[in-house]
Amino acid sequence: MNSSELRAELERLHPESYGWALGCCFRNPGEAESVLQTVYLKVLEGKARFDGKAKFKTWLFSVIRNTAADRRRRSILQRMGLTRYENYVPAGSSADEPEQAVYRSEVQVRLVQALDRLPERQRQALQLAFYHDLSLEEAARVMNVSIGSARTHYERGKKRLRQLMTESGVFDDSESGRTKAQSVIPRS
Amino acid sequence: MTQNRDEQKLKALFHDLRGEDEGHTPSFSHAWQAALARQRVQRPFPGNAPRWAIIATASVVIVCASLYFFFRSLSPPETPRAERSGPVAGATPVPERPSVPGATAPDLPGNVASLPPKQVTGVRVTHARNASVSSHRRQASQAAVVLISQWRSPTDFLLAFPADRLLKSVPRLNDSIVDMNLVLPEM
Repeated sequence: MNSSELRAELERLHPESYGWALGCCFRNPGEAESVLQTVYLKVLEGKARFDGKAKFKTWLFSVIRNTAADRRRRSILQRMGLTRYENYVPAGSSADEPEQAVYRSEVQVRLVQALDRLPERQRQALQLAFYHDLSLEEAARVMNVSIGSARTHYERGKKRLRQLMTESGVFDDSESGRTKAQSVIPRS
Repeated sequence: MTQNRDEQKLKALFHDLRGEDEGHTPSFSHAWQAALARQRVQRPFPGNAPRWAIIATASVVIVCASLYFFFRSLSPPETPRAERSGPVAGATPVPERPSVPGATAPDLPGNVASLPPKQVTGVRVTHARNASVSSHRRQASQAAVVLISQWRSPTDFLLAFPADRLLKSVPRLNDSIVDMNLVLPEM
């Protein structure tokens, strides 16, 4: 893969890479952007090389995860846990109806807060499976664990997330399928 | 059934979140240019050298410094400058060897004896330095032996008392009692 192909592939995956970097950086946009820049720098300097053993996306996500982890280790503030998901404020989309935007924001905040309460491995397994639509095998490659381990993280994380979302009122225990959050939002 | 529905719900929530994030993704060109700029900035400065290079340099410096101080501690004490660099201005000059006119060394190609006496150079003194150091050490050890043999305790006087003469000398026949009374304490 030459440099122009590499750049084109990085550009194509840039939005997804940003989403994954956000997930690895406790949804801190500045941190995620910085991590992405560091990853691109690694690619430019040849410190991170794609060997073609896995899919490009899997390899790139693995580099992002390692870079974010390295950065987090170095950052004292992150180590002390001062900046966490609690600071997450969704911006909302201007295209939505105001009411719908409020609902989306609230559900997203609760999802993000619930994710924050999960162990890192479980959170990453869920994000790779649901957010990035990766298979468990690919998720295992990104997380650098065995498939069995990734499956365990995924199942436990899913169970715990469902429980947390039910506790926070987003999911309903009833069979109606309608979420509580929908009923909480006043309808005009 | 419920599990599948929950899974679908979770997936929908994550996709909403993804759509939200994609709306706020910084442009790729901005991130790429920033990475290029960081690459340009990082290269010329040694402060951004790899960690192993810094550690290797520091190790070399530490080893060199240790060796320097180690060999310095082993080397003998500095001899005075006057000894090393020949006569000093104001010092008594070394009398020159009187040259005998006409005296030649028959077995040498030239008239070596008539050449002026050479000054003591630093190189020759340096070669002679080791011998002088060993002689210094020998003299110092001899001086220490002499000092130990001449040493007297500062509390030695406490052992002396007036009747020392009677105790430390053999009494002689016909010795006068008067002399004895001089040394004996008065009763």
